[in-house]
Amino acid sequence: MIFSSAEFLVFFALLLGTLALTKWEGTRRNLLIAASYLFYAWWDWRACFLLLGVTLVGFRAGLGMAGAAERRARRPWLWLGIATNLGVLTFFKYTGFLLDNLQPLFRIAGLEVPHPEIVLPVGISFFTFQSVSYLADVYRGTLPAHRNLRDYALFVAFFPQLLAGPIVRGGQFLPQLEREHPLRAGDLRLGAERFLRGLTKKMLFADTLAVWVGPVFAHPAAYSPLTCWLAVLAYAGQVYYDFSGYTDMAIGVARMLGIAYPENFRHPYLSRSVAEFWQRWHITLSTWLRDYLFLPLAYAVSRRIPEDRPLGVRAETWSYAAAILLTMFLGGLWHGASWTFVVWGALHGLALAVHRLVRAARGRRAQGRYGRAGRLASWGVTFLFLLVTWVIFRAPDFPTAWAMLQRMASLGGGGVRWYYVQGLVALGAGVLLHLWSLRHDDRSPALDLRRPLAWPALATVLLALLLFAPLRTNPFIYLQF
Amino acid sequence: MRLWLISPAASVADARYGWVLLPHARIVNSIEGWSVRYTNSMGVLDDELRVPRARVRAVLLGDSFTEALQVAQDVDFGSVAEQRMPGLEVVSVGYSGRSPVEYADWLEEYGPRLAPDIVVVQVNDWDLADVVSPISLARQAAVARGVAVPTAAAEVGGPHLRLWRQLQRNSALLAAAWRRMKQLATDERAQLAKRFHGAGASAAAPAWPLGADPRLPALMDALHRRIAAHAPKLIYLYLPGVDYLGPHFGSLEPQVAAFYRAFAARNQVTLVDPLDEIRAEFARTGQPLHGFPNSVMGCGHMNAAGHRVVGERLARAIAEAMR
Repeated sequence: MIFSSAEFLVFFALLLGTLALTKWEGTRRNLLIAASYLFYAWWDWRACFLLLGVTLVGFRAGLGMAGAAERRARRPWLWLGIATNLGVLTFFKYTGFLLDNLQPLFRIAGLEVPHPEIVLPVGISFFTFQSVSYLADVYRGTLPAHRNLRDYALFVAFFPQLLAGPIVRGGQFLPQLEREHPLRAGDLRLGAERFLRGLTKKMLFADTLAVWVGPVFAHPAAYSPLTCWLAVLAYAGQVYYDFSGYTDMAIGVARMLGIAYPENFRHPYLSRSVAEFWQRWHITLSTWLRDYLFLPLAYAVSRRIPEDRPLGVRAETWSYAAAILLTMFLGGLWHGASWTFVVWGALHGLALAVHRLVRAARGRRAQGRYGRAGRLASWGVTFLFLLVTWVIFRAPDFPTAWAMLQRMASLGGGGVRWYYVQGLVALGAGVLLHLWSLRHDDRSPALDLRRPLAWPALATVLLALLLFAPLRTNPFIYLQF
Repeated sequence: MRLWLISPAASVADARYGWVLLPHARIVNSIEGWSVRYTNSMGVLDDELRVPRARVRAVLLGDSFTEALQVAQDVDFGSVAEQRMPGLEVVSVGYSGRSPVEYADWLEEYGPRLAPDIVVVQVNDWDLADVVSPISLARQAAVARGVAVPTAAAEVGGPHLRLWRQLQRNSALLAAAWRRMKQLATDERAQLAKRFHGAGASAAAPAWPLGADPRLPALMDALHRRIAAHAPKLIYLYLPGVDYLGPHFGSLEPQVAAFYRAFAARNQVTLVDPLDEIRAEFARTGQPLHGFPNSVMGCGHMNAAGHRVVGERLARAIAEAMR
């Protein structure tokens, strides 16, 4: 059941209707948990037991840490919780990948290890990371352990963020459960507007661009260089509008139910450096990686660097570079059990490390001294880097990625020329929307239904969705992660 | 909208053929390719019959490939054949979704009036599945028994349905929106069926397993006999789906191609398969002969280059048959 499907709209309408008739907050929360588990069971009912297990272990570990006065006594509970979450994630997501990569060793040892058929529970990367953040925050003492199992279960399984984020932390979600959440007209309006924005991004932009991307990435060698470039540009648009569209819908649905979610995107393609890109792209993941992986790693590395300035660069910069490389390597692996994702993450890690080293070498005085041409060049280099790395991210394997990159680098004009009209229109509209946001403090155009002209605009958007959105329901890209 | 994107519904329910086009209708298509076409007084997407009669009159029966709403009328393969063979008039009778079952019916009804010198029956990969569909089987059984051809009630409908269709014939917006909603509902139904029954209609299913029915040779032979009865000369034009981008260029459904070759040999009839010409043109230009900038290149219906190649091949075949 994905947000852009008719079955979800029916499900959500029924849920809203039932909630509107419910007077008691406790009943509302029970309903929300039941709805969340039903939503999850729609994919595969067996995965609900996994979700329940992760919830119970996380809740018990949180209580265990709350009952321990000293940090040392909290540690076993922390490791229990983290080992359970990461163990589940590793088993379901990476077992096949690990065994496949170990096959040469198995063959040398004369072992016959078949490829296991393990169904990946949808959203597992998101709800396990969410649980880990809760446990780490409780361990650090920045978040009190939650003592209400029902509310904690709602935090883990709340359906708007369950499948593909945003990765909501305990500190962002649980305090909101301190108050009651009756349906409010203002929340419904704002949530519906946000949901519609996400639906438009998904159906008019992402799904349209997907029509272009799929065939070209299936046979990159057959297409002309310009077609390949445009298809990669289309993929950059597709992955952004798909994921940010999903996030908008998740934020909108949660808002309609009275819960505020953190933002996950801020026009990432306006970035002038890879570091800025990660402050604008999948913000809840990048901040998660920063707080729970990068900073502990950087701290651990810095303790092991003896000199103050090895090779003339500050120890802090070296520890940053080492930690960011490892963090992005693991961040790439988080996206999927494939070497293409690992290389994608590693390239981003390398770019971030180089960016930091260059900044350190130029010194602070040079910061911010770029003219318009310099800013444009920074943006161009960053965007080019993003496009090239998206090729590796999107391609099913390295030969396909290599074929695509070869065609993009080719100067010859041979190959099938396909300039997909709807895709070009979607790309053009995407560029215009980004330029609009440049002049409006990073904001996107919003539909404020309190304004009289908003209603004809709403009718136009709905009509455009009905007439021009590609028909077949496409799953969101990030659901596979 | 009706000027550039899509026309109001131009089809009306018909007891015999399910749907037919209105006479003198303007049809705008932008779903795949783009064209503005007009039907003649017979409700056929072609010019009026030539007066005086052309030296050779060919009736071309086919489905959406013959209908050719994706390209301008003067570049569809029927018109190209006319341009390549002086004295030839091709009456293109194409309608989306039709199969040899409807061609036999149509020729029985209109053949005597048109008195063609030659009939060209365009077939493709999906026709075999259409011939053995339940509704087609019922029609063929009824014809064999000499009774009235059955028509699904939904195709003709009561007064409310007729009013609704009248509204669609007057509003391009309504027609387009309604068509999309029907497609969305079909898609949703298929997904729900897949969820609860583990099955569902799949657009990506290959044509051959659907058409690999043991009754097919006999059914096709029977239809051929009905068509041949009204055709002084007869050619089958097979338009294969083509795999342009895979490792090996060729027909997407080689088993269907083999079936048609066997069918032609069995019935001693000419089968025109332009695959070699399509291959040569693709090798020359590097551009697929199917697909459009507003659809997927290499898939779907033929573009203007495809129509040109097929039209030239068809002109040669007609010239040989008339020799």
